[in-house]
Amino acid sequence: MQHSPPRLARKLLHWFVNAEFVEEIEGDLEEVFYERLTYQSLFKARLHYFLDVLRAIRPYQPKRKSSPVAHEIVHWIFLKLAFRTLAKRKVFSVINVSGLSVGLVSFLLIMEYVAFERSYDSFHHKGDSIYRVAFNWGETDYKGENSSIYASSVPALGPAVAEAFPEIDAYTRFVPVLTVKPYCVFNVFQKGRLKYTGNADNGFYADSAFLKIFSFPIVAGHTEPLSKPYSIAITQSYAEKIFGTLPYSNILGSSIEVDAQRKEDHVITAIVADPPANSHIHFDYLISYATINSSQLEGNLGWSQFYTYIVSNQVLSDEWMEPRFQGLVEKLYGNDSHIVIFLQPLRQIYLESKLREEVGPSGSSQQLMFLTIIAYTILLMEWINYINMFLARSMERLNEIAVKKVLGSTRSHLVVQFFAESILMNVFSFGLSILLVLLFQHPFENWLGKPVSEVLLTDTPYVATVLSCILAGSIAAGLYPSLLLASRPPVGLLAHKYQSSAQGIFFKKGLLYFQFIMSFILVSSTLIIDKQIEFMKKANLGMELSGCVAIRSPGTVDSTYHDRLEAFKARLLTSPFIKNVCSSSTIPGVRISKSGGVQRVVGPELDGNNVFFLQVDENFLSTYDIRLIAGRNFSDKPSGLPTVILNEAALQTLKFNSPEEALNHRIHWQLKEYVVIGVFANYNHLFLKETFEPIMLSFRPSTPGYLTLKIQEGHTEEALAIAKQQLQSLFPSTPFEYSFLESTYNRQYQPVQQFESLAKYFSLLAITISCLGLFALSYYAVQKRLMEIAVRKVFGARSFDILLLLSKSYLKITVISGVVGSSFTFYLMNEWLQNFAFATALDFFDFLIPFIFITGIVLITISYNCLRTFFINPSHSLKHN
Amino acid sequence: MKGTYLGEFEEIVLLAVGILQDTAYGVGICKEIENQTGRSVNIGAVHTALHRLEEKGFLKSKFGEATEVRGGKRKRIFALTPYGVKALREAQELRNHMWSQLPKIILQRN
Repeated sequence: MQHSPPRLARKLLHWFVNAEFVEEIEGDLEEVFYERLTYQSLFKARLHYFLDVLRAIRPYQPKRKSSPVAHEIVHWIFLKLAFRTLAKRKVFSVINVSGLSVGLVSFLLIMEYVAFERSYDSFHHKGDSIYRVAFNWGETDYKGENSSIYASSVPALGPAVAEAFPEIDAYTRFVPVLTVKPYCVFNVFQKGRLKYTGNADNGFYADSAFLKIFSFPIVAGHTEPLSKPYSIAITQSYAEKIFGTLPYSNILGSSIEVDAQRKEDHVITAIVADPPANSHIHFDYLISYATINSSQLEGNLGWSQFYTYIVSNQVLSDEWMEPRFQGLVEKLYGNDSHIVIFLQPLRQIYLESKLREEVGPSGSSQQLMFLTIIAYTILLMEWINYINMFLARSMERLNEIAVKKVLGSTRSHLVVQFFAESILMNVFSFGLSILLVLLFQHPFENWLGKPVSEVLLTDTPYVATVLSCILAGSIAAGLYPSLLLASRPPVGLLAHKYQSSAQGIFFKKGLLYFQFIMSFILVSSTLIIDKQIEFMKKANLGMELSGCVAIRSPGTVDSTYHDRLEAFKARLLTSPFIKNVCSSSTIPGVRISKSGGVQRVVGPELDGNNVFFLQVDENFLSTYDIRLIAGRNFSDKPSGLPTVILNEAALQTLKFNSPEEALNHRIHWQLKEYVVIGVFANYNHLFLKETFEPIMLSFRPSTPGYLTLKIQEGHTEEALAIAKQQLQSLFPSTPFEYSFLESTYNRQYQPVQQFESLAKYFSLLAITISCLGLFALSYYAVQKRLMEIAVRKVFGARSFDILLLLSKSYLKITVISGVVGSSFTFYLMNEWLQNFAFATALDFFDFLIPFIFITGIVLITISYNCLRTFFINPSHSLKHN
Repeated sequence: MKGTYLGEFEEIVLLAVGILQDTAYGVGICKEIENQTGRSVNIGAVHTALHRLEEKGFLKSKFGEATEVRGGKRKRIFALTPYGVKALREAQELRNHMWSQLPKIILQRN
């Protein structure tokens, strides 16, 4: 017969109709079909056949009778068999289980981290309706980039916003205490004796709405602790730091002497719970907003260091905000300002916001995406590997499968048996990996510096998604090889004519390519990241940080401050161990917070004119070894106008063509006039991720901020002892706290370094996993060709020829993966390096070294299996076949 | 009574099986019914009825020889069981009994 009934319909019939009746029904339907063909078109006949089939599948048709398989599962025979098989092939089982567990452990740890990062600020009850008001001053630098988008805003903004829009229910304003009062020391007296003294840590002046808008619960004390001036609320851990184990009832109502410009007692009105680790706002204490007590505060439109958060009674979209806020800006600042105000939803701040003056460190959604992809890739590679190993191992079991089939095992029997093995292996690995995760939890959290497991259970949908991914993957990885193996005809198996189908080969090769491309990308990326870190560390920063120690500027700023500080500096310089001393408003590695637009008094109107403002004394340049390229340094002799020294970037901002041209020019900055007396070479105030920002040094001999000591090499301890002694004689009751500039500066590299060690770890893992898979595959390939190799040996092939023969195809895979992987890496790493203003250049060796490395590992991995064949006596393998 | 109850279609299928004897299989029965009644019958309906009748014990079945026409699939040949014959007879008797009680006048009028 030429035509036949549609295949799909026949399949349906077989699936859904009781096996007892299927033959007869199919026969009948086919007979009708052929009869119809004599008077109907093929299409109509097929259509009718289809309809007939659908009618034959009736609900009351008895379903398939339960096969004996189900019966035997109940008897656990398959589980027993699986146990025996796994126990018999210990090496394979151990490799498989350990491979699976390693993959799962890394997957779970990464996912824990991702879940933690995603959970930021999820604990606020009003979280979905809280927004931060961010401020774009609209000032661009000389490169045309906007360098003035701030997370912080001005004091007048909160009340103005709440008044203007009925959609906004409430607002809160807060500002870091150390921003308002750079020098601030806490003293606590008990029974007239000094019990505690220390630099004020991390705290805010906050208004009373702060604790109502954010969910930081009050543990003890007043329900509105921040309503009166000179009230302070401290966190539980800060209470412990100051008062030890004193009960809260005794702490409440006692006072802390805050020594900032003048000494004032603050009353402790409440104890607040510590902010959770996944909060982007962290503080040790809160002082009531009214305490700031500055005449400049109310209605101030220029003091841009206040954070403003609002609560809204509806979802505020960009379209809603834009026109309204524009109107508000016009009302506050007039028509011709470039200022733009915008809102940031609270939940997005941690991952998405990258503004100046962020409240705390921020995460990166890009990095989380990268990590998620890596995690799933590892898991996928692990499963692929598992499938490969399973198939490779099944070579040994062909006889077993064939005999079982001949003796009457159905396909489903075999599938169930193999599947039972997979399930056992996966359950075992999962159990093991949970144990390992629990074991590694603590070191992992320490390494990250984040208690990631704390919030794990709050994000249930996410955890459920991750777990169901694991489940689905495990089932698929177990089922695929089972189905593949069980479907082979028994005769072929028995005769050892086991040939993979073209599809199978393609699949396996595809898996190998995937694994090796991934390994290659990871290894070469690690090397490139490493190269960039080395590049940044070795780069000439334009200054010298070694031997520099920074102290926060001491003491209350009063009329005697200047003289005392000068005396302190002079005394320090008499020490043979201290080479130089300078004071500055901030230090390298810490962002400069003061900036604004600059204009020339004579010269062209400037547009992109944002310049950063740093107050220093005359020793700043020499202490840090920053090169002066034109003009002169500051001197004590007062000249008419205040003086400034510019860096090269600021020179560009002001559109001077040469350093000499700028000298003696007058400039306007923030309504004041300055005269340029010198130009210094650009130095990397922040690490090399950031460009050279235009900086303007202004002369202020005893500026509050930091004191930097340049210490003679090898005499750090002596120098610090002298500094401490002198400080305490001149500024009694000032705590002596210092930091080594080189290490604080290098702390900026930490995120990149963490990223690098992650990449390193992953590439190791990827290589291990791919090699396990490769080992299994080469084992399988060699096993298949034992006879061929024996014959070749009999005819005089040398070992080298055979090695070449066996490794040729794998070398091909390595080479192609190398090429593909390099191009991916080149693209990815170029993108990544864009994040750095100063980036290393990629060259050929960045790709050659990983290539040689991976090829070497591949050769070592397969050589075991190849070498094994050399030592088999040819007669032995020939006899066996 | 309830045990041997036959629906109209079931009765016709049983009769067809009886008429066809050794050639009583799905398609054959289907065609026989179509010929006798003149209405088109769906093969699926016949299969369902056959299997239900077999389950009830009115029919028994065995596989016949494989033929070329059906792609090598065997036919299932159905045959009446004594119980099936009894059921048919009871159905006929019931009908006859009721016919005999029908007043003559009704028959004459139409």
